[in-house]
Amino acid sequence: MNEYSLIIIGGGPAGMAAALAAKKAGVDDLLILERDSVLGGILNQCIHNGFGLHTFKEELTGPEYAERYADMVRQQDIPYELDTMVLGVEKLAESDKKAVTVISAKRGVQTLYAKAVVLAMGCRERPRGALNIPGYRPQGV
Amino acid sequence: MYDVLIIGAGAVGCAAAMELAKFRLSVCVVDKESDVCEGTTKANSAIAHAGFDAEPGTLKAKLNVRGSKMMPELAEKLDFAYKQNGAMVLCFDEADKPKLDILKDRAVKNGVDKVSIISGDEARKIEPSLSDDVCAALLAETSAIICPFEMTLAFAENAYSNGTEFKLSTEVTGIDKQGDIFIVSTSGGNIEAKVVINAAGVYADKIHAMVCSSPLGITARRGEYLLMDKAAGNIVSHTVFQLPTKMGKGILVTPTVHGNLLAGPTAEDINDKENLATTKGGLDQIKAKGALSVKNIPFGKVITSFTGLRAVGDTGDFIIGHSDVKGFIDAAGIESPGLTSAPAIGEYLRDLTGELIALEKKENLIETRKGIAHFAQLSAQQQNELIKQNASYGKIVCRCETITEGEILDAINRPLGATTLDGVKRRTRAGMGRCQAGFCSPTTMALIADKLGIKIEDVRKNGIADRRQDDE
Repeated sequence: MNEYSLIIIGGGPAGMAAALAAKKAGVDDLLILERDSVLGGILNQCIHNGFGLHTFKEELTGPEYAERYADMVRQQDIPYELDTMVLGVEKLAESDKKAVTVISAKRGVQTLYAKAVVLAMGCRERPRGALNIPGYRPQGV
Repeated sequence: MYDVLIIGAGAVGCAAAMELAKFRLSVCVVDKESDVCEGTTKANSAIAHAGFDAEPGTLKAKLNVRGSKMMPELAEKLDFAYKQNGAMVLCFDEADKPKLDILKDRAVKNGVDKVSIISGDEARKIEPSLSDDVCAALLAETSAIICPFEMTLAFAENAYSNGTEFKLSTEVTGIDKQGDIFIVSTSGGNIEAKVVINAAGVYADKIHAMVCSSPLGITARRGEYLLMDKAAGNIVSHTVFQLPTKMGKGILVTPTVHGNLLAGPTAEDINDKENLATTKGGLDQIKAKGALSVKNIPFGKVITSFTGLRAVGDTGDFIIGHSDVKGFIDAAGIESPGLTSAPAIGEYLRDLTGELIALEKKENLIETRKGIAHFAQLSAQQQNELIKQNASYGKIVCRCETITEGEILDAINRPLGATTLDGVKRRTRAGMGRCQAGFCSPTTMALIADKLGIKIEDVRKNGIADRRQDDE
């Protein structure tokens, strides 16, 4: 099946929360695409605590907080595909649909279609090189 | 005992190896680094120069033009990136226009085709981003951009598949001639050879002095560069040079063969041949001088800066020929246009070797070399075929450049395969994109560790563990 009402790009906190809200609002044919091999996104590297005080009324680390959301996604039977990267998103001229081209070992390169797409990919840090700091480039830094 | 030992696995050493591999000779290439293409070859402007710059009659002129003409067919046969994008030399001052005529005259004398002088307006019509101050330009249509890593790897892999041995991580420490035989002592034991070719880049003087008494001087000339994101790669389509001005030597602005934008190099003679640091002054100079040629270069889109060292000889020309010790051949002082000249230098070194030992053609020569699949450049159908054959092509490791696990595994597993992060990077471009290896490093390291059977903490960015320990 390559047609969905909603495709959510990114399985981090925003993507998972969006999926849960959409499901609650009655959207059943939705799909989360995540390029990492686990759900959680940036939270997986936020190993300090302090997450979840508002939502779960307890103090959690980033990965623990992400796991709560991942559990809810699974409880709600929301489909998600890991190790799947989006190569392009395009609005089709002839309809309201959006074409989302993905790659994964399972699907190969395939185009999926959705009525709506949520972009929840987070952001990208600029690398050290972009700052143009002169000097040597130390190994492994 | 080898017939020929080549010291240095850069563009020149590997080109010589490829040429000599066509004959029934035993040939070995040694290099102190853990991979081919680790010296001057890896950090330069990546241009296949047309050949209008060198003084007529010099080796630089002859070999540049020959190399430039060999390049398209080599790129086809050996599967490396090459694009004839043309070059312009910009003139900013009416008074300097005769200097363009001198270059055009040289082009004619050197046998370079398709060179013309155009007006500033004509130049801006071809390249709308050029500065309003450009009053005339030399247009050289046969100038091209190439991938220096892929070219050198292609030479090396072809030589290897035709029987050439490579001893990497092997530093030459002394050369002794006993009778007609050279005993070359290295960090990996002695190597004996009838002919030795010195293609040691910035260290060619040191290698030369190990056995020769004639003087040979090499100065390292530092050149700094700024590399910009692919989003800036379309600002110019030609390689844009400047006439030397009162402000000094020019800075070029060029698209790279992979679609980035490159600006540089500076030129500064230094004593330390390991000094690959960039400097604030150098980077500022690139910005200031680059802006003279091209309007609104988006220096905010820089993704990395780097420094390369050119091996500048003390004669003004390439120093290629028999030395004062019979059997010891120098290929020294290979500064610009060395990359372009490399395949022609390979032929020249073959001929010089032929003056010392008999060259008999090898049968069943492998003339082609297949590179690593460039997944991102394939059609969706080709991509799916590849994934069907091997699921690892369905897994993107380097997100910026869309490099798959399959390509990285090929880079590690193929002959003369990568053993370091930089080795994978030069073979596949994994880590060369916007994030500069921020995301793909851990995955690539795990793949290297797994395939080489080493611990992940022993995977290096470059070099070998022992030699680099004192750096830390």
